[in-house]
Amino acid sequence: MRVAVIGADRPWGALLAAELGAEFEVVAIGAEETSDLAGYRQVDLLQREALDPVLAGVEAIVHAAGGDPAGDGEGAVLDTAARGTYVALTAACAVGIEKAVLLSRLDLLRDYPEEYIVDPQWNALPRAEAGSLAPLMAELVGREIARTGQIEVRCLRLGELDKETTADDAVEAVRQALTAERRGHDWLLAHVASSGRFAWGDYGNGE
Amino acid sequence: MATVNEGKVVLFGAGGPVGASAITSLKDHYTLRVTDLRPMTEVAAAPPQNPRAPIPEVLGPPHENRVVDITDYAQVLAACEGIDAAINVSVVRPHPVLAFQVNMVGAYNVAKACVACGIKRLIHTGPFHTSLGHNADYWNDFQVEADIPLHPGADLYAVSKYLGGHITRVFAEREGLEVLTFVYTHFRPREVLPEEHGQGVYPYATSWEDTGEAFLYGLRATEMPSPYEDFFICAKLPHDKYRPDKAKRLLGWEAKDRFEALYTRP
Repeated sequence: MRVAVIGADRPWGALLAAELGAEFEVVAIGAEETSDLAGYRQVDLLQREALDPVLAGVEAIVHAAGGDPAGDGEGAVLDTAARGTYVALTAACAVGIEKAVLLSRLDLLRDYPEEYIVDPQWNALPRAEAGSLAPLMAELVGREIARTGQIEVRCLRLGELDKETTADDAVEAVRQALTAERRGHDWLLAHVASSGRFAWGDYGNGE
Repeated sequence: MATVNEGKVVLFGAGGPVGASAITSLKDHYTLRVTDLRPMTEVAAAPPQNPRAPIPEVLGPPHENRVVDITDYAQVLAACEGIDAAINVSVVRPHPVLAFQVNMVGAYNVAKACVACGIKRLIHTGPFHTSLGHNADYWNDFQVEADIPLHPGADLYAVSKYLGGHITRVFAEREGLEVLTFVYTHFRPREVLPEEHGQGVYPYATSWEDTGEAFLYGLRATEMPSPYEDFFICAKLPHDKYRPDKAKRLLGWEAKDRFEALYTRP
């Protein structure tokens, strides 16, 4: 399967682009000019005209730039999260890609009291700050585009790399999401926590 | 108490027809700071959005007209200083970049500035897209109430406004700002022309005049049950497809224009 990792210049994206190569044909793209990844390409992730040709022949995308957006200033962070996800998913739909994995953050639930057992059925609780709202913006865009039925979007909420979520667990969760059969709802949400308050049961109770 | 019976009100994106309606209804009750990306004199001199849509009146003192780019937080913050309530009627529809900048980042800037300036009530606005071509757009439903979650799908305008709405909701729930969101679908003039009689009416419709008056009720309403509340601002029509009852219940507002001449046989 040919998989585009969008946001391969971000920490999670770089890791996944490198590790998924063992099983998938990875197309690593990001907004930054350079990367150590083999075959990495710089693409304007906020422009359909730039992204569309890159997705030709791709069968699935991993969008790593929405939940962890780069940006200079609050407006840019929100824009990168929301518009970047919108561009990635509408571009994917346009070329007939039917599977997307959207990376988001467990931080969306961090403000629930520590003693609560919080799973994906709990409403996101971001703070009124751009950095906290950004992953929610990405999720809402993903959920809404999935609602059209054109693409299945599996959203994985991750913790801090190698603290709350290990690299191995994240890679395995993404691998499973990419290879899972499409069934039922087109938007699926799961938590990927290796330790800490969100680590209980399997990879969440999305579906 | 977030009720605003008098004082200063800032309007963002006032150059459109909804802003024009708001100006007409509020100018005799509040001191308005009218803002838009373009100078209001320029807006008023331009053709209307459609032939029967209202054009904003350019107000003199004690009101104020100001050019404000809603995507620039510093400008939005300055526009909110000394203000008692804010109304955001800004919108960009088809532009792939500006739709997110204005509809989402702009909403963030306004909500953040309201909190920074101690403004207690914000009236936010947005569309209710009744037919988006997917199965969750409520198009086939009836008795639809204002508290339903919107499902904008992949529509650029709908989804970018939807994100802005969620941002204001978070500010309301986390920062003590009371946000009333008015949603609209189809506007038309109060006057029904003879040739329009019996032509039918869209099941979610609002006259420009009623649109403006709703803002007065929104500002003066008593404290809301929750810090964030959505309202259908539309006429109560016999189709019983979209129900504006919540606006009557919480704001005391109901549309005067019911458009009977449009849906009855001449």
